[in-house]
Amino acid sequence: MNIHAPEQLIRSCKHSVLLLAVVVLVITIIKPCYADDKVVLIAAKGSGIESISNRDIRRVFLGLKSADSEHVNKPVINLYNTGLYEEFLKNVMHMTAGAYKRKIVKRIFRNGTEEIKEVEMLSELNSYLTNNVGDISFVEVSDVEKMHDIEVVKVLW
Amino acid sequence: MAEVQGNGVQKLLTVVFISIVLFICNPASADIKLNGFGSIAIGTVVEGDEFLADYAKTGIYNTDLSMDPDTTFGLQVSSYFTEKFSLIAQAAVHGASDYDPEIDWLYLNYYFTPELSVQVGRKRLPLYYYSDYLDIGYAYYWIRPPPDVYTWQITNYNGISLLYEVALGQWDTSLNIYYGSEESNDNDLLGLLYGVSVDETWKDMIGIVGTISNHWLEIRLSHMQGLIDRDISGVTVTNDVEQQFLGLSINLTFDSLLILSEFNNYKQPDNSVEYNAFLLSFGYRIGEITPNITRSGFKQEINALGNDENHYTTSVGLRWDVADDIAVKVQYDNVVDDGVVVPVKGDSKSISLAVDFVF
Repeated sequence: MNIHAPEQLIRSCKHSVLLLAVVVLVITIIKPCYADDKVVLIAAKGSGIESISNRDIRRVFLGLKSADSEHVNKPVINLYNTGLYEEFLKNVMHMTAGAYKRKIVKRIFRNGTEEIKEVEMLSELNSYLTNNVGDISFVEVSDVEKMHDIEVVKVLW
Repeated sequence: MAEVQGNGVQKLLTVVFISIVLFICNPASADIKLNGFGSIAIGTVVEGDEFLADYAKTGIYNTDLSMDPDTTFGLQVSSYFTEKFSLIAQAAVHGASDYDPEIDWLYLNYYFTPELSVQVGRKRLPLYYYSDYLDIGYAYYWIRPPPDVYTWQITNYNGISLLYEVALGQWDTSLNIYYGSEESNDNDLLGLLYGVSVDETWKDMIGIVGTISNHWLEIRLSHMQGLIDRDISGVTVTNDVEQQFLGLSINLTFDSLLILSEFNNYKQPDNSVEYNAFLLSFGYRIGEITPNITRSGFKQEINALGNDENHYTTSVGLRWDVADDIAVKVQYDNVVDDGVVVPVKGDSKSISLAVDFVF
Protein backbone atom coordinates (compact mmCIF):
# COMPACT_ATOMS: atom_id res chain seq x y z
CA MET A 1 0.00 0.00 0.00
CA ASN A 2 1.26 3.44 -0.92
CA ILE A 3 1.05 5.60 2.25
CA HIS A 4 1.25 9.37 1.65
CA ALA A 5 3.29 11.55 3.98
CA PRO A 6 1.26 14.43 5.56
CA GLU A 7 2.97 17.02 3.26
CA GLN A 8 2.09 14.96 0.21
CA LEU A 9 -1.50 14.64 1.47
CA ILE A 10 -1.78 18.39 1.95
CA ARG A 11 -0.24 19.01 -1.51
CA SER A 12 -2.73 16.54 -3.06
CA CYS A 13 -5.61 18.26 -1.30
CA LYS A 14 -4.42 21.66 -2.56
CA HIS A 15 -4.22 20.31 -6.12
CA SER A 16 -7.70 18.81 -5.80
CA VAL A 17 -9.17 22.03 -4.43
CA LEU A 18 -7.42 24.01 -7.17
CA LEU A 19 -8.72 21.62 -9.84
CA LEU A 20 -12.22 21.81 -8.40
CA ALA A 21 -12.04 25.60 -8.38
CA VAL A 22 -10.97 25.64 -12.04
CA VAL A 23 -13.81 23.28 -13.00
CA VAL A 24 -16.37 25.39 -11.11
CA LEU A 25 -14.98 28.55 -12.75
CA VAL A 26 -15.18 27.01 -16.23
CA ILE A 27 -18.74 25.79 -15.65
CA THR A 28 -19.69 29.24 -14.33
CA ILE A 29 -18.29 30.87 -17.46
CA ILE A 30 -19.82 28.36 -19.87
CA LYS A 31 -23.26 28.11 -18.30
CA PRO A 32 -24.51 31.59 -19.33
CA CYS A 33 -23.37 30.82 -22.90
CA TYR A 34 -25.64 27.77 -22.95
CA ALA A 35 -28.43 29.93 -21.60
CA ASP A 36 -27.85 32.34 -24.49
CA ASP A 37 -27.89 29.53 -27.03
CA LYS A 38 -31.65 29.34 -27.07
CA VAL A 39 -33.03 29.15 -30.56
CA VAL A 40 -35.78 31.58 -31.42
CA LEU A 41 -38.23 32.29 -34.20
CA ILE A 42 -37.78 35.82 -35.51
CA ALA A 43 -39.54 38.30 -37.76
CA ALA A 44 -39.18 41.96 -38.61
CA LYS A 45 -40.35 44.37 -35.91
CA GLY A 46 -43.98 45.27 -36.39
CA SER A 47 -44.85 41.98 -38.07
CA GLY A 48 -47.92 41.68 -35.86
CA ILE A 49 -47.29 37.98 -35.25
CA GLU A 50 -48.45 37.39 -31.69
CA SER A 51 -48.39 33.64 -31.37
CA ILE A 52 -47.64 30.65 -33.52
CA SER A 53 -47.51 27.01 -32.55
CA ASN A 54 -44.63 24.67 -33.42
CA ARG A 55 -47.16 22.74 -35.45
CA ASP A 56 -47.93 25.83 -37.53
CA ILE A 57 -44.24 26.67 -37.92
CA ARG A 58 -43.78 23.19 -39.40
CA ARG A 59 -46.65 23.84 -41.81
CA VAL A 60 -45.19 27.16 -42.94
CA PHE A 61 -41.73 25.67 -43.48
CA LEU A 62 -43.36 22.93 -45.58
CA GLY A 63 -44.72 25.63 -47.88
CA LEU A 64 -48.26 25.73 -46.50
CA LYS A 65 -50.08 28.85 -45.40
CA SER A 66 -50.13 29.63 -41.70
CA ALA A 67 -53.31 28.58 -39.94
CA ASP A 68 -52.45 30.38 -36.69
CA SER A 69 -51.82 33.92 -37.82
CA GLU A 70 -52.73 35.93 -40.88
CA HIS A 71 -49.61 38.02 -40.27
CA VAL A 72 -47.24 35.12 -40.95
CA ASN A 73 -46.02 35.33 -44.51
CA LYS A 74 -43.24 33.08 -45.83
CA PRO A 75 -40.45 31.08 -44.22
CA VAL A 76 -36.77 31.83 -44.68
CA ILE A 77 -34.19 29.12 -44.11
CA ASN A 78 -31.14 30.28 -42.19
CA LEU A 79 -28.04 28.51 -43.52
CA TYR A 80 -25.72 30.92 -41.74
CA ASN A 81 -25.33 28.24 -39.11
CA THR A 82 -25.70 24.82 -40.76
CA GLY A 83 -25.59 23.01 -37.41
CA LEU A 84 -28.53 25.11 -36.26
CA TYR A 85 -30.38 24.35 -39.50
CA GLU A 86 -30.02 20.62 -38.88
CA GLU A 87 -31.19 21.04 -35.27
CA PHE A 88 -34.20 23.02 -36.51
CA LEU A 89 -35.08 20.24 -38.95
CA LYS A 90 -34.71 17.66 -36.21
CA ASN A 91 -36.58 19.52 -33.45
CA VAL A 92 -39.31 21.29 -35.41
CA MET A 93 -39.65 19.55 -38.76
CA HIS A 94 -38.86 16.06 -37.45
CA MET A 95 -36.83 15.10 -40.52
CA THR A 96 -33.36 15.08 -41.99
CA ALA A 97 -32.07 17.67 -44.43
CA GLY A 98 -32.42 15.22 -47.32
CA ALA A 99 -35.97 14.27 -46.41
CA TYR A 100 -36.89 17.95 -46.04
CA LYS A 101 -35.42 18.80 -49.43
CA ARG A 102 -37.37 16.01 -51.13
CA LYS A 103 -40.56 17.06 -49.37
CA ILE A 104 -40.19 20.62 -50.61
CA VAL A 105 -39.36 19.47 -54.14
CA LYS A 106 -42.52 17.35 -54.18
CA ARG A 107 -44.61 20.29 -53.07
CA ILE A 108 -43.06 22.68 -55.58
CA PHE A 109 -43.76 20.41 -58.52
CA ARG A 110 -47.11 19.16 -57.21
CA ASN A 111 -48.66 22.48 -56.20
CA GLY A 112 -46.53 25.11 -57.89
CA THR A 113 -45.52 26.32 -54.45
CA GLU A 114 -42.72 28.87 -54.28
CA GLU A 115 -39.25 27.59 -53.43
CA ILE A 116 -38.35 28.45 -49.86
CA LYS A 117 -35.88 31.29 -49.58
CA GLU A 118 -32.45 30.36 -48.23
CA VAL A 119 -29.85 32.79 -46.91
CA GLU A 120 -26.28 32.14 -45.85
CA MET A 121 -25.32 35.43 -44.17
CA LEU A 122 -26.80 36.88 -40.99
CA SER A 123 -26.77 40.37 -42.49
CA GLU A 124 -28.59 39.06 -45.55
CA LEU A 125 -31.19 37.40 -43.34
CA ASN A 126 -31.64 40.65 -41.41
CA SER A 127 -32.07 42.65 -44.58
CA TYR A 128 -34.45 40.13 -46.16
CA LEU A 129 -36.72 39.95 -43.11
CA THR A 130 -36.94 43.71 -42.70
CA ASN A 131 -37.80 44.04 -46.40
CA ASN A 132 -40.41 41.27 -46.19
CA VAL A 133 -42.42 41.96 -43.07
CA GLY A 134 -44.22 38.84 -41.91
CA ASP A 135 -41.55 36.43 -43.15
CA ILE A 136 -40.10 34.25 -40.39
CA SER A 137 -36.81 32.53 -39.72
CA PHE A 138 -34.84 31.00 -36.87
CA VAL A 139 -31.57 32.04 -35.19
CA GLU A 140 -29.71 31.57 -31.93
CA VAL A 141 -30.87 34.21 -29.49
CA SER A 142 -27.34 35.64 -29.28
CA ASP A 143 -27.56 36.46 -32.98
CA VAL A 144 -30.62 38.64 -32.46
CA GLU A 145 -28.38 41.21 -30.74
CA LYS A 146 -26.33 41.45 -33.92
CA MET A 147 -29.43 42.24 -35.97
CA HIS A 148 -31.55 45.35 -36.14
CA ASP A 149 -35.31 45.87 -36.36
CA ILE A 150 -35.88 42.20 -35.60
CA GLU A 151 -38.15 40.82 -32.90
CA VAL A 152 -38.32 37.44 -31.25
CA VAL A 153 -41.67 35.80 -31.97
CA LYS A 154 -41.10 32.64 -29.99
CA VAL A 155 -38.45 30.61 -28.19
CA LEU A 156 -38.25 27.33 -30.11
CA TRP A 157 -36.02 25.46 -27.67
CA MET B 1 -48.36 10.14 -71.18
CA ALA B 2 -51.78 11.26 -72.06
CA GLU B 3 -51.18 11.92 -75.69
CA VAL B 4 -53.11 14.75 -77.17
CA GLN B 5 -50.57 15.27 -79.88
CA GLY B 6 -51.96 15.38 -83.36
CA ASN B 7 -55.29 16.89 -82.48
CA GLY B 8 -53.95 20.41 -82.19
CA VAL B 9 -54.59 20.80 -78.48
CA GLN B 10 -51.01 19.93 -77.58
CA LYS B 11 -49.67 22.42 -80.10
CA LEU B 12 -52.01 25.08 -78.77
CA LEU B 13 -50.85 24.41 -75.24
CA THR B 14 -47.23 24.58 -76.38
CA VAL B 15 -47.88 27.97 -77.94
CA VAL B 16 -49.56 29.13 -74.73
CA PHE B 17 -46.61 27.90 -72.67
CA ILE B 18 -44.09 29.67 -74.91
CA SER B 19 -46.22 32.82 -74.74
CA ILE B 20 -46.11 32.65 -70.96
CA VAL B 21 -42.34 32.27 -71.00
CA LEU B 22 -42.03 35.25 -73.35
CA PHE B 23 -44.46 37.22 -71.21
CA ILE B 24 -42.48 36.61 -68.07
CA CYS B 25 -39.31 37.85 -69.73
CA ASN B 26 -40.86 41.28 -69.23
CA PRO B 27 -39.45 42.45 -65.89
CA ALA B 28 -42.56 44.52 -65.26
CA SER B 29 -44.77 41.44 -65.21
CA ALA B 30 -45.90 39.33 -62.24
CA ASP B 31 -43.60 37.68 -59.72
CA ILE B 32 -42.15 34.74 -61.64
CA LYS B 33 -40.44 31.61 -60.37
CA LEU B 34 -38.71 29.02 -62.51
CA ASN B 35 -38.00 25.51 -61.32
CA GLY B 36 -36.50 22.73 -63.38
CA PHE B 37 -35.91 19.03 -63.12
CA GLY B 38 -34.22 16.32 -65.09
CA SER B 39 -33.25 12.68 -65.20
CA ILE B 40 -30.48 11.32 -67.37
CA ALA B 41 -30.79 7.55 -67.40
CA ILE B 42 -29.18 4.66 -69.19
CA GLY B 43 -30.04 1.01 -69.01
CA THR B 44 -30.19 -2.35 -70.70
CA VAL B 45 -31.86 -5.73 -70.46
CA VAL B 46 -29.34 -8.33 -69.33
CA GLU B 47 -31.66 -11.33 -69.57
CA GLY B 48 -34.79 -11.55 -71.70
CA ASP B 49 -35.76 -9.32 -74.61
CA GLU B 50 -37.48 -6.15 -73.42
CA PHE B 51 -38.42 -4.30 -70.24
CA LEU B 52 -41.38 -1.89 -70.26
CA ALA B 53 -40.08 0.74 -67.85
CA ASP B 54 -42.71 3.39 -68.55
CA TYR B 55 -46.17 2.16 -69.53
CA ALA B 56 -47.73 5.55 -70.23
CA LYS B 57 -45.01 6.73 -72.59
CA THR B 58 -44.02 3.19 -73.64
CA GLY B 59 -40.40 3.63 -72.60
CA ILE B 60 -38.86 0.24 -73.39
CA TYR B 61 -35.35 -1.05 -72.70
CA ASN B 62 -33.99 -3.83 -74.88
CA THR B 63 -30.68 -5.67 -75.00
CA ASP B 64 -28.87 -2.57 -76.31
CA LEU B 65 -27.82 0.24 -74.03
CA SER B 66 -30.45 2.97 -74.24
CA MET B 67 -30.97 6.39 -72.69
CA ASP B 68 -34.46 7.05 -73.99
CA PRO B 69 -36.92 5.15 -71.74
CA ASP B 70 -36.29 7.14 -68.54
CA THR B 71 -34.53 10.33 -69.63
CA THR B 72 -36.61 13.45 -68.92
CA PHE B 73 -36.12 17.21 -68.72
CA GLY B 74 -38.73 19.67 -67.52
CA LEU B 75 -39.37 23.24 -66.56
CA GLN B 76 -42.05 24.67 -64.32
CA VAL B 77 -43.05 28.32 -64.48
CA SER B 78 -45.03 29.76 -61.61
CA SER B 79 -46.38 33.26 -62.08
CA TYR B 80 -47.75 34.91 -58.97
CA PHE B 81 -50.03 37.78 -59.96
CA THR B 82 -51.00 38.36 -56.34
CA GLU B 83 -50.56 36.47 -53.09
CA LYS B 84 -53.74 34.57 -53.89
CA PHE B 85 -53.72 34.26 -57.64
CA SER B 86 -51.15 32.41 -59.74
CA LEU B 87 -50.59 30.55 -62.98
CA ILE B 88 -48.62 27.31 -63.04
CA ALA B 89 -47.24 25.81 -66.24
CA GLN B 90 -44.99 22.80 -66.62
CA ALA B 91 -43.51 21.45 -69.83
CA ALA B 92 -41.29 18.41 -70.25
CA VAL B 93 -39.49 16.40 -72.88
CA HIS B 94 -39.13 12.65 -72.55
CA GLY B 95 -36.77 10.35 -74.37
CA ALA B 96 -39.60 7.82 -74.61
CA SER B 97 -41.65 10.41 -76.52
CA ASP B 98 -38.83 11.36 -78.94
CA TYR B 99 -38.16 14.50 -76.88
CA ASP B 100 -41.29 16.23 -78.20
CA PRO B 101 -42.32 18.93 -75.72
CA GLU B 102 -45.46 18.15 -73.76
CA ILE B 103 -47.50 20.31 -71.44
CA ASP B 104 -48.27 18.45 -68.24
CA TRP B 105 -49.58 21.36 -66.21
CA LEU B 106 -51.23 24.60 -67.24
CA TYR B 107 -53.66 25.95 -64.69
CA LEU B 108 -54.76 28.99 -62.76
CA ASN B 109 -54.70 28.73 -59.00
CA TYR B 110 -56.68 30.90 -56.61
CA TYR B 111 -56.65 30.83 -52.81
CA PHE B 112 -60.05 31.59 -51.27
CA THR B 113 -58.53 31.16 -47.82
CA PRO B 114 -55.10 29.93 -46.66
CA GLU B 115 -56.57 26.42 -46.58
CA LEU B 116 -58.87 26.40 -49.62
CA SER B 117 -57.81 26.87 -53.23
CA VAL B 118 -59.25 26.21 -56.66
CA GLN B 119 -57.37 25.17 -59.80
CA VAL B 120 -58.70 25.50 -63.33
CA GLY B 121 -56.89 24.13 -66.36
CA ARG B 122 -54.70 21.15 -67.18
CA LYS B 123 -53.28 19.03 -64.38
CA ARG B 124 -51.91 15.59 -63.66
CA LEU B 125 -54.60 13.01 -62.96
CA PRO B 126 -53.95 12.27 -59.26
CA LEU B 127 -54.88 8.59 -59.28
CA TYR B 128 -51.68 7.23 -57.79
CA TYR B 129 -49.46 8.36 -54.94
CA TYR B 130 -46.65 9.47 -57.29
CA SER B 131 -48.94 10.76 -60.08
CA ASP B 132 -48.23 14.42 -59.45
CA TYR B 133 -44.46 14.15 -59.59
CA LEU B 134 -43.86 10.98 -61.55
CA ASP B 135 -41.39 12.80 -63.79
CA ILE B 136 -39.43 14.29 -60.87
CA GLY B 137 -37.01 11.43 -60.27
CA TYR B 138 -35.24 13.42 -57.56
CA ALA B 139 -38.34 13.16 -55.35
CA TYR B 140 -38.19 9.37 -54.86
CA TYR B 141 -35.51 6.72 -54.46
CA TRP B 142 -36.27 4.55 -57.48
CA ILE B 143 -35.20 5.31 -61.02
CA ARG B 144 -38.91 5.18 -61.79
CA PRO B 145 -41.89 4.23 -59.58
CA PRO B 146 -42.74 0.53 -60.09
CA PRO B 147 -44.18 0.20 -63.63
CA ASP B 148 -46.51 -2.64 -62.56
CA VAL B 149 -48.50 -0.10 -60.57
CA TYR B 150 -48.28 2.87 -62.97
CA THR B 151 -49.96 1.18 -65.94
CA TRP B 152 -52.14 4.14 -66.93
CA GLN B 153 -52.81 5.25 -70.47
CA ILE B 154 -54.30 8.60 -69.43
CA THR B 155 -52.14 10.70 -67.11
CA ASN B 156 -53.63 14.20 -67.31
CA TYR B 157 -57.01 15.88 -67.28
CA ASN B 158 -58.48 19.22 -68.23
CA GLY B 159 -60.95 20.51 -65.69
CA ILE B 160 -61.33 22.00 -62.27
CA SER B 161 -60.21 20.97 -58.80
CA LEU B 162 -60.65 22.14 -55.24
CA LEU B 163 -57.88 21.63 -52.71
CA TYR B 164 -58.45 21.96 -48.96
CA GLU B 165 -55.38 21.66 -46.71
CA VAL B 166 -55.74 21.96 -42.97
CA ALA B 167 -53.92 20.96 -39.80
CA LEU B 168 -55.96 18.85 -37.38
CA GLY B 169 -54.11 18.60 -34.10
CA GLN B 170 -50.86 16.82 -34.84
CA TRP B 171 -51.97 15.85 -38.34
CA ASP B 172 -51.70 17.52 -41.73
CA THR B 173 -54.69 16.70 -43.86
CA SER B 174 -55.74 17.51 -47.39
CA LEU B 175 -58.79 16.88 -49.51
CA ASN B 176 -58.71 17.27 -53.29
CA ILE B 177 -61.87 17.02 -55.37
CA TYR B 178 -61.61 17.20 -59.15
CA TYR B 179 -63.72 16.98 -62.28
CA GLY B 180 -62.50 16.78 -65.86
CA SER B 181 -61.79 14.85 -69.02
CA GLU B 182 -58.96 13.94 -71.36
CA GLU B 183 -58.81 12.89 -74.99
CA SER B 184 -55.83 10.91 -76.24
CA ASN B 185 -55.49 10.28 -79.94
CA ASP B 186 -53.21 7.44 -81.05
CA ASN B 187 -52.53 6.52 -77.44
CA ASP B 188 -49.00 5.16 -76.94
CA LEU B 189 -49.76 2.42 -74.43
CA LEU B 190 -52.95 1.14 -76.07
CA GLY B 191 -51.24 1.25 -79.45
CA LEU B 192 -48.49 -0.95 -78.04
CA LEU B 193 -50.95 -3.42 -76.52
CA TYR B 194 -53.34 -3.60 -79.49
CA GLY B 195 -50.77 -3.20 -82.23
CA VAL B 196 -52.95 -0.64 -84.04
CA SER B 197 -53.96 2.98 -83.54
CA VAL B 198 -56.27 3.50 -80.55
CA ASP B 199 -58.04 6.71 -79.56
CA GLU B 200 -59.16 6.91 -75.94
CA THR B 201 -61.27 9.43 -74.09
CA TRP B 202 -61.82 9.54 -70.36
CA LYS B 203 -64.71 11.86 -69.61
CA ASP B 204 -66.85 13.00 -66.71
CA MET B 205 -64.11 11.99 -64.33
CA ILE B 206 -65.00 12.82 -60.75
CA GLY B 207 -62.30 12.12 -58.21
CA ILE B 208 -61.48 12.63 -54.58
CA VAL B 209 -58.09 12.30 -52.91
CA GLY B 210 -57.66 12.47 -49.15
CA THR B 211 -54.38 12.49 -47.26
CA ILE B 212 -53.53 12.51 -43.60
CA SER B 213 -49.97 12.60 -42.33
CA ASN B 214 -47.67 13.40 -39.48
CA HIS B 215 -43.89 13.19 -39.31
CA TRP B 216 -43.78 9.37 -39.47
CA LEU B 217 -47.02 8.23 -41.11
CA GLU B 218 -48.80 9.20 -44.31
CA ILE B 219 -52.05 7.69 -45.55
CA ARG B 220 -53.53 8.57 -48.94
CA LEU B 221 -56.87 7.41 -50.32
CA SER B 222 -57.85 8.03 -53.94
CA HIS B 223 -61.10 7.34 -55.75
CA MET B 224 -62.14 8.21 -59.28
CA GLN B 225 -65.03 7.26 -61.49
CA GLY B 226 -65.91 8.28 -65.00
CA LEU B 227 -66.72 7.12 -68.50
CA ILE B 228 -64.54 5.70 -71.28
CA ASP B 229 -64.80 5.94 -75.04
CA ARG B 230 -62.39 3.87 -77.14
CA ASP B 231 -61.92 3.68 -80.90
CA ILE B 232 -59.66 1.00 -82.33
CA SER B 233 -58.53 1.68 -85.89
CA GLY B 234 -61.37 4.15 -86.22
CA VAL B 235 -64.03 1.71 -85.01
CA THR B 236 -65.84 2.54 -81.79
CA VAL B 237 -65.56 -0.44 -79.47
CA THR B 238 -66.35 1.25 -76.18
CA ASN B 239 -68.78 4.07 -75.59
CA ASP B 240 -69.74 5.58 -72.24
CA VAL B 241 -68.48 2.60 -70.29
CA GLU B 242 -68.16 3.26 -66.57
CA GLN B 243 -64.76 2.91 -64.88
CA GLN B 244 -63.83 3.07 -61.21
CA PHE B 245 -60.47 3.42 -59.51
CA LEU B 246 -59.65 3.02 -55.84
CA GLY B 247 -56.15 3.48 -54.43
CA LEU B 248 -54.62 3.34 -50.96
CA SER B 249 -51.08 4.32 -49.98
CA ILE B 250 -49.54 3.95 -46.57
CA ASN B 251 -46.02 5.26 -46.05
CA LEU B 252 -44.03 5.02 -42.84
CA THR B 253 -40.80 6.69 -41.75
CA PHE B 254 -39.00 5.32 -38.69
CA ASP B 255 -35.81 7.38 -38.41
CA SER B 256 -33.72 5.79 -41.18
CA LEU B 257 -36.20 3.12 -42.20
CA LEU B 258 -38.74 3.88 -44.93
CA ILE B 259 -41.69 1.63 -45.72
CA LEU B 260 -43.70 2.57 -48.80
CA SER B 261 -46.83 0.86 -50.05
CA GLU B 262 -49.56 1.32 -52.61
CA PHE B 263 -52.61 -0.82 -53.41
CA ASN B 264 -54.90 -0.08 -56.34
CA ASN B 265 -58.08 -1.58 -57.73
CA TYR B 266 -59.47 -0.68 -61.15
CA LYS B 267 -62.67 -1.96 -62.70
CA GLN B 268 -65.17 -1.48 -65.47
CA PRO B 269 -68.26 -3.09 -63.88
CA ASP B 270 -70.18 -3.38 -67.15
CA ASN B 271 -67.28 -5.07 -68.98
CA SER B 272 -66.12 -7.40 -66.22
CA VAL B 273 -62.70 -5.77 -66.43
CA GLU B 274 -60.89 -5.66 -63.10
CA TYR B 275 -57.30 -5.59 -61.96
CA ASN B 276 -55.36 -5.12 -58.75
CA ALA B 277 -51.87 -3.63 -58.47
CA PHE B 278 -49.59 -3.20 -55.51
CA LEU B 279 -46.14 -2.16 -54.39
CA LEU B 280 -44.32 -2.72 -51.12
CA SER B 281 -40.92 -1.15 -50.69
CA PHE B 282 -38.31 -0.83 -47.96
CA GLY B 283 -35.55 1.77 -47.94
CA TYR B 284 -32.91 2.48 -45.34
CA ARG B 285 -31.02 5.77 -45.18
CA ILE B 286 -27.35 5.44 -44.29
CA GLY B 287 -26.09 8.98 -44.49
CA GLU B 288 -26.38 10.02 -48.11
CA ILE B 289 -27.00 6.47 -49.33
CA THR B 290 -30.44 4.84 -49.47
CA PRO B 291 -30.47 1.18 -50.46
CA ASN B 292 -33.94 -0.08 -51.25
CA ILE B 293 -35.83 -3.20 -52.23
CA THR B 294 -39.28 -3.31 -53.81
CA ARG B 295 -41.83 -5.89 -54.80
CA SER B 296 -44.67 -4.86 -57.10
CA GLY B 297 -47.33 -6.64 -59.08
CA PHE B 298 -50.28 -6.34 -61.44
CA LYS B 299 -52.97 -9.01 -61.66
CA GLN B 300 -55.95 -8.84 -63.92
CA GLU B 301 -58.96 -10.96 -63.01
CA ILE B 302 -59.63 -13.28 -65.96
CA ASN B 303 -62.82 -12.18 -67.69
CA ALA B 304 -65.04 -13.60 -70.43
CA LEU B 305 -62.42 -12.71 -73.05
CA GLY B 306 -59.77 -14.60 -71.11
CA ASN B 307 -57.66 -11.48 -70.55
CA ASP B 308 -55.02 -12.34 -67.99
CA GLU B 309 -52.43 -9.54 -67.79
CA ASN B 310 -50.33 -10.60 -64.86
CA HIS B 311 -46.79 -9.45 -64.03
CA TYR B 312 -44.58 -9.00 -61.00
CA THR B 313 -41.30 -7.17 -60.43
CA THR B 314 -38.63 -7.37 -57.77
CA SER B 315 -36.32 -4.35 -57.75
CA VAL B 316 -33.16 -3.68 -55.82
CA GLY B 317 -31.68 -0.20 -55.95
CA LEU B 318 -29.43 2.38 -54.42
CA ARG B 319 -29.84 6.13 -54.21
CA TRP B 320 -26.83 8.33 -53.47
CA ASP B 321 -27.41 12.01 -52.73
CA VAL B 322 -24.15 13.33 -54.12
CA ALA B 323 -25.13 16.98 -53.67
CA ASP B 324 -28.06 19.03 -52.39
CA ASP B 325 -29.90 18.90 -55.68
CA ILE B 326 -28.40 15.84 -57.36
CA ALA B 327 -28.97 12.14 -56.79
CA VAL B 328 -27.33 9.18 -58.50
CA LYS B 329 -29.23 5.91 -58.64
CA VAL B 330 -28.63 2.38 -59.79
CA GLN B 331 -31.38 -0.23 -60.01
CA TYR B 332 -31.82 -3.87 -60.93
CA ASP B 333 -35.28 -5.07 -62.01
CA ASN B 334 -36.43 -8.66 -62.32
CA VAL B 335 -39.78 -8.93 -64.14
CA VAL B 336 -41.85 -12.10 -64.26
CA ASP B 337 -44.63 -11.88 -66.86
CA ASP B 338 -47.26 -14.57 -66.21
CA GLY B 339 -49.75 -13.33 -68.79
CA VAL B 340 -50.66 -15.98 -71.37
CA VAL B 341 -53.45 -14.35 -73.39
CA VAL B 342 -52.16 -10.85 -72.59
CA PRO B 343 -48.39 -11.00 -72.13
CA VAL B 344 -46.76 -7.57 -71.92
CA LYS B 345 -43.06 -7.95 -72.66
CA GLY B 346 -42.20 -11.31 -71.17
CA ASP B 347 -39.74 -12.09 -68.39
CA SER B 348 -36.71 -9.83 -68.15
CA LYS B 349 -33.82 -8.80 -65.95
CA SER B 350 -32.43 -5.33 -66.47
CA ILE B 351 -30.10 -2.82 -64.95
CA SER B 352 -30.28 0.96 -65.15
CA LEU B 353 -28.35 3.98 -63.89
CA ALA B 354 -29.68 7.51 -63.52
CA VAL B 355 -28.69 10.98 -62.44
CA ASP B 356 -31.65 13.04 -61.16
CA PHE B 357 -31.49 16.73 -60.45
CA VAL B 358 -33.62 19.76 -59.67
CA PHE B 359 -32.79 23.41 -60.01
